[in-house]
Parts: sequence; structure tokens; C-alpha cells
Amino acid sequence: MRDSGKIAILIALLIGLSLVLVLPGLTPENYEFFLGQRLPKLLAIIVTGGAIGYSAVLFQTVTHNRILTPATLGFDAMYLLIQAALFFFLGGASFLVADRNANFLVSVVVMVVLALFLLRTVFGRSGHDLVFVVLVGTIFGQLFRTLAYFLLMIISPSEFTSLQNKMFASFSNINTNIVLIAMVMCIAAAGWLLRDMRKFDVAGLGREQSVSLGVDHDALVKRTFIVSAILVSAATALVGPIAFLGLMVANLAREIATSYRHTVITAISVLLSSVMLLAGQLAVERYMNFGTTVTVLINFVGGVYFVILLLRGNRL
Amino acid sequence: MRTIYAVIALAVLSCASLFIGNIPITLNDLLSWSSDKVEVLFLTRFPRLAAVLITGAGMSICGLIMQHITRNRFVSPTTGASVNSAHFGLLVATIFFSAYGYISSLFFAAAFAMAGTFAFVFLIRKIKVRSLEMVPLLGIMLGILIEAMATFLAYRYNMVESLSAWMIGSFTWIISGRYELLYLSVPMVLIAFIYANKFTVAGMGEDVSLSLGLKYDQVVNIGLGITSVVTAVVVIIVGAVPFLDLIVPNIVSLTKGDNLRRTIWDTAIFGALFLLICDIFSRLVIFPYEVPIGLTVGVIGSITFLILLFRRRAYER
Amino acid sequence: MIEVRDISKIYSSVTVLDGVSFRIADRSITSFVGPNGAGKTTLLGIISRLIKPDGGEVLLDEKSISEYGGSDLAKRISILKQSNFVNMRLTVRELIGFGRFPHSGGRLTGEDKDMVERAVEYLDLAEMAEKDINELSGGQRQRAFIGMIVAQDTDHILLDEPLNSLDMRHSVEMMRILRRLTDELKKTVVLVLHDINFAARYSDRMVALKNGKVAALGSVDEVVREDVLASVFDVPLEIREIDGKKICIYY
Repeated sequence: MRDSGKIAILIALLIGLSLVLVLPGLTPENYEFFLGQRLPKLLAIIVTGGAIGYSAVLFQTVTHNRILTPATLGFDAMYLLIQAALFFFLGGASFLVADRNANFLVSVVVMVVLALFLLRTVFGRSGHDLVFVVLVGTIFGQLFRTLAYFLLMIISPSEFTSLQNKMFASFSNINTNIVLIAMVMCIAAAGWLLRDMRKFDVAGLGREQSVSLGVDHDALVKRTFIVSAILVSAATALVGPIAFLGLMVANLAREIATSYRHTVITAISVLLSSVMLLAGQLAVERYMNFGTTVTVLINFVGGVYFVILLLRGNRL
Repeated sequence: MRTIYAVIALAVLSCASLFIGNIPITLNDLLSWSSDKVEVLFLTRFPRLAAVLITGAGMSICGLIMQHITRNRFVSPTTGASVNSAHFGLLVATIFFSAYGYISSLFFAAAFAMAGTFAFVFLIRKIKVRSLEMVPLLGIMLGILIEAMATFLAYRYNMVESLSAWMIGSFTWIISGRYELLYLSVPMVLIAFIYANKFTVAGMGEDVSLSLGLKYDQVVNIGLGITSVVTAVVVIIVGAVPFLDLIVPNIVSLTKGDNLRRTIWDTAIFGALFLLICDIFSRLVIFPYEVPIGLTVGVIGSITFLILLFRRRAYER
Repeated sequence: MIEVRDISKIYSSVTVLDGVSFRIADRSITSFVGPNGAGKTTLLGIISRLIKPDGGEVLLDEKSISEYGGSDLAKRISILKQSNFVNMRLTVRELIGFGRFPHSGGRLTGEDKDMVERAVEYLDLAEMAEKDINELSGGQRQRAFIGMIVAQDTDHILLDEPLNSLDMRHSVEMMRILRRLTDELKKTVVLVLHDINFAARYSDRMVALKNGKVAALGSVDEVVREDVLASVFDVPLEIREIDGKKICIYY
């Protein structure tokens, strides 16, 4: 099958699943209420999926590996720490904690700044060894998570568990404003890299070869990191951590696509990611009666795929 | 020489730690043998001290063994999927076999820890990994996968809160009668001492081991068996104490080198001392409450790990 | 013409290159030789702008390469590094098509396609043009990468140890291809070589490096001399002449 056919099938799947999520039980009387609830959720899922699928492919290309994705850099922990720190220093009643829109914006901005700061210091010291960078990011993630819990503990040892649960984002309490903000942010960030798609094709040949072919590889890496930071921050603030989704869809997209072109691979990855997230959410709602969360489900499936990928002997 | 200082510090701090807690105990109480105070001492203070020392020494030695077997400085039960697997096993035991008490917890936590650790070691042997840092990264990701499986199960059986509690180790609930399982680590550690030389040889790789006449697979199995049992016991009684098992052997080897027979004593002593200091800090920082030890060690441990990583970098250039 | 002027490079207090200066003659093959750690690969990296020098500059036609734009320089100098593992599914023809990137930005014009076909034929790759590059043997893949560089159509070609991991037959084949590039297509080829005899047999000029400095340079006859090479490599050696070509014996 040609790549355009595959993309068409994915689009059809996306539309079909969207209808399954939105339509059931709608009547002329209740549609305003239900749509007001379901459409933001649908948008949030598509934006999150798209953001993760897009950043994972490009990040893997410039880092020349198929195992690491921006999600491994500990963004979820960063989000957690920001929430805990706001709570700790400003108190639960303060504007930045109570107002969800303001909280979302501040979280994303701080995450992007923090991520870039990390990447800069780490890169400044270690040159081009990306595995090192990602390991350092992962450990920073662990540090942030324990620091966040530490702060919560100090705020109130007796309410620790309830505070801990409040800190996680989830699709079920999404609101329209946040989704729209996230969507604009993601589209702008992703759009910035669109003109570089052909450079990503070259970047796949490795740093040396792309420099030889006239691509400013270091600048491309920097741009990719900035965009990944924005996309993953937005996605994390919307649903929380989904470590394995990006890894899974980016690899599947490379296997599905016949072409090596990043325009094609990225499109497939974005669509596939949204479709999977949507299917996961539907499975959780319809068949498991919210007996689990979509993030746990996806991490489970993605994690198994990851082990298979390793066993098939991919070069690391 | 340094070892002696560590032993003295350990002794002094051990005594001091007996006097920290909500019920004040003074030397006079002991001299006059005030019975309720002495009871507190035997009911909570001694058990806690013992738990801290055993956990500190035991986990550090586990880290040391795993480093040698995987031939990678940055691999330990924390970064080698053992701790997460033990969580999973403990969860299975609690959900399905709670009637059997500690026996089932021990069996499942140890069996799962073993399965997870062996799976990880098998994976990194099967795929040829290019860089030193990739190995712990793979272990951490495998850990995320196992944690996701456990969480999946926990959601079905309403156990999410227990699971997240196990992830943060704590000595708060250690009292006489509820921690004795930890003593199972002691014979394990003794076996480790006996095998110290063989672990060192195994650390030089399979080819070297075989040419030196060592039963490589057997030594690896014993090493991973020891770490799995100790990890399981600690996870059941205390919970996760992240990175303790990674940083202690690394810090010891910075000054004492990598001959396991020489470093294993220092690793045990220093591990116990390090955890004792962290424990005393955790109990004092928001007195009369206390911070779980998992958080204190998690913060200090991850920072130390980062320093170790950057240090190695600077050293190589 | 490429001129290296007073280049130095220091990696955390270790001086890898120390005031290196020379000119590279056009339309000839120049080999960098020397013991391990002499700075050959670093020097090649600096000439190809992969590595930034700590001092000095590299001039291309009297203008510093740092003043050229990325794709302008990519039309003049190409480089091939020793490891060319690619994490993409690409056919040989697609790989060679990448060589046209500096000229067309990734959208192949009719002229680009002609250039690609010419490169395919020049390197005798027509039979495997539709094969996945990861299915090729090491020697074939190396040839495909050379094809890319031929399509890139630069007047200067730099190669870092192109014979690494090639067997004898493919090594000879590779050196013959480079010779043809110089003789027929008038390219300037600069390469790092480990094997002094390959260098002597196929090069026009040689640059011998030792401890980050130029120990000797000139034509093959000027450099391949017992006294010169013995001091560069620190081993006693003997040079014989067979059919007018010099062979160095060092064991």
C-alpha cells in the first residue's frame, strides 16, 4: 500500500473513534451538556497524542536512536515538582494554585525553561553524547519527584497522601480554556519545525554527514529540543506521564512508512499516537469501567513493545 | 585507617539514635531502670536501629554485587528493575495470598525480584549495548514497565495507595515483632562475604572467569539470588530506599578500588553509617513528625548519582 | 585551494594539534599519516568544520571556511567519516540523492536526477540501486556513500580512514576509485590512512603528523624515506623499491 493510503486509513480511524467517544447517548435535550464535556476531552486527547507523536519522531532522528524519547527526560516529575513548589511557597489558596488556567500556563513555561536550562548545562559539559544526557535527565526526574514529595511531606505530614493524588493531571477534569491554550501552543511549536522536515531527512544520516551536506546540525538539535520541551510539557500538564507512548508510535511509524521522508513518518506518528490514546481512553471508559487509567494502560502496552524491540536486537 | 573512624562514628551515632523520639529517654532513666522507658527502648528504638543498620549494609552490598556481575558502575537493584519487581511481587502476594502472611509476601517478592533481575541481566547480555550509561537507562525503563504492570493490577483491586506507599521507604512503623524478617538479610550478606573473591573474578567478564576455572553461571546465579532476597526483604519491611545501593559502593570504590574482598567490609560499614545519618536527619527535620527515609535518601542519592556521572565525564577527558 | 594556517586544538589541557600549517595541492590525493594520537582525525575534522579549532583558521580559496554559509561550503567540501551506520530504511539511489541536498534542498530537479544516475553508473552501483543500504556488505555500503559524495559534486573530498573494516580486495577497490576521482574528475582528495604502503602507493602527496605537529610533508618520495618515517613512527624500518614503487617494511 502507498503511504498516502496508510495516512487515509489512520485519519478514518481517528474520525471513527472520535465519533464513538462523542456521539453515544446524545439527544436533542442533553447534547449541549454532553458535548461541552466530551469535546474538550476529545481535543485534549488528540492534542496530547499529536504532541507526543510529533516530538518523539524528530527527537529520535536528531539523537540517532530508537529507544530514547523526550518523555524519558523526566518531564512528569518536573510538573510534579512545580505543583508542589507552588503549593509550598504560595499556599493552596493562592491564585497560581487555585486558578487552573494560570496554573497550566505557569507550569508549562517553567517546565520549558527548566528543560532548556538542563539541556544547555548538560550539553555544554558533555558534547554530543545523548545517552548521557538522557540518563542525567532521568536521574534529575527522580530527584524532582522525591523533592516534590519531600515538600508535600513538610507542608503537612498528615495530608501527604491526599496532596500527592491531587498533583496529577488527568483527562477527566479537563477544561476548554486549557485545551485551547495547549492546542495553540503545540501548533505554533510544531509549525516552527515544518520547514525543517527535509533537513531531518538528512539529519538521519548522522551529524558528520549532515554537516558535510550543509545542514547546521547543532542548530537543528537545539530547535528540536525547544519544540520537544514545549510539546511534552503541554502533554504532561494535560494528562500526566505517558513514558512509552512516544517510543511506541515513533517506531511503529518508521515500520509502517515505506518512505524515509519525515513529512510522511511524522504524519503517521502523529495520527497513530492520537488514535492509540483515543482507543486507550475508550477501552478504559467502556470496557474497564475506569478500572485503570489510560496512562497505565498505554505504558503497559508500550512497555511490552519496548522489550520486544530490544529482543529483536536493535542497535543501541 | 578510615575504616576505624567509620566504625567509631557508627557506634557513637547508633547510641545517639536510641535517644531520639517522641518519648524522651535520658541516661538517668536507664540507670534507674525506669521500666516503661526501657520498654520503649526495646519495643521501638532497638528494632529501628537494627533495621537501619541491616538495610544500609544489606542494600549497599547488593549494589556492589550487581555492579560486578553486570560490569557496570551504575547498575544496582534500584536501576536494575529488582526493586520494582519486588513491589510487583509484594502486591500479588497481598492481593491473592494475604491469608498466608509474611511467608507469601517473602516468597512472591523474592521470586519476582529474582525474575525481574534475571530478565534484566539476560537483556543486557543479549543485546550488545554501546555505552555505559545505556545499561542503567534500560534498567530504569524496564522498571517503569514493571511498575506499570503493578499499577494496572493495583487499580483493579483498589491497592493504588498501598503501592505508592511501598515506593517510599520508611522506618516509622518498625517495632518489635514486625521487622524480624529483615534478619534474613544477615545470612545472605554472610554468603556474599564468602563469595567476595569469586564476584571479583566474575566482574572481569565471562571469558576471563572461564579461563580462570570459575563456574561463571553459578556465581552469577548466587549473586543475583542474594540481591533478590535482600531486596525483597527490605521492600517488604521498609519499602524502597532509592539509590542507596548505587552510591555507597561507588563512593567506597573511589577510595578503595574495586577488589571486592577488600571493599565489601567498607561498603557494609559505610552503607550502614550513611543510612543511619539519613535516618537521624529524617527524624529531626520536622520533629515531632518525621520524613520517610525513602525521600531523604532519594534526594541525597539522586544528587550524588548525578555528581558521580559528571565526575566520570570530567575524569575521562 | 585549501590552506591550513596555524591550527591548534586542545582537549582539556591535552594539546592535540599545535600550530599546524600547510597547503593542500588541488587535483591530487593527499594522505595524512602518523602514529595513533598524532591528531590526524582531529585535523581532518577541523578542515571539514566538524570540529572547531582553538586557534588558527582553515582557508578555502583565500577565505576562511567560517565565513562560508553552510550550503555554500557543502558545495565545495564533502566529508565521509569512518562509521556510517544509518538508522533509516534507504535505498542506495535515495542515499545518493542526498548528495544533491546542498544544491536543491531535498527536492530533486531533473538536473539533480541526472547527477544521481551518473554517480550510480560511475561507481557501478546500478545493480543494487534499489537495495536497502543496510542489506549491503561493508564494502558495498562504503561505495554507496562515495556515490553520494560524487553526486554532491564538490571539488574537495575528505575521508577519515576509508579503509577501516574493509578487506584487502575492497581496500584496493576503494583506493582505485579515489584515484579515478582525482585523475578523471579532477577532484582534490584528502584522507587519513593507517597503512603507510597504501598511502605511498596511491597518494600524490603526504603529510606526516607526530604529537600534533607536522613532522614531514611533501611528495611521496620526499616523505617515504627511512630516516623520516623511522622518526615519525618510532620503529626501525626499511624501504625497498619494487617496480618503481616504494614499499615500507617494518616488521
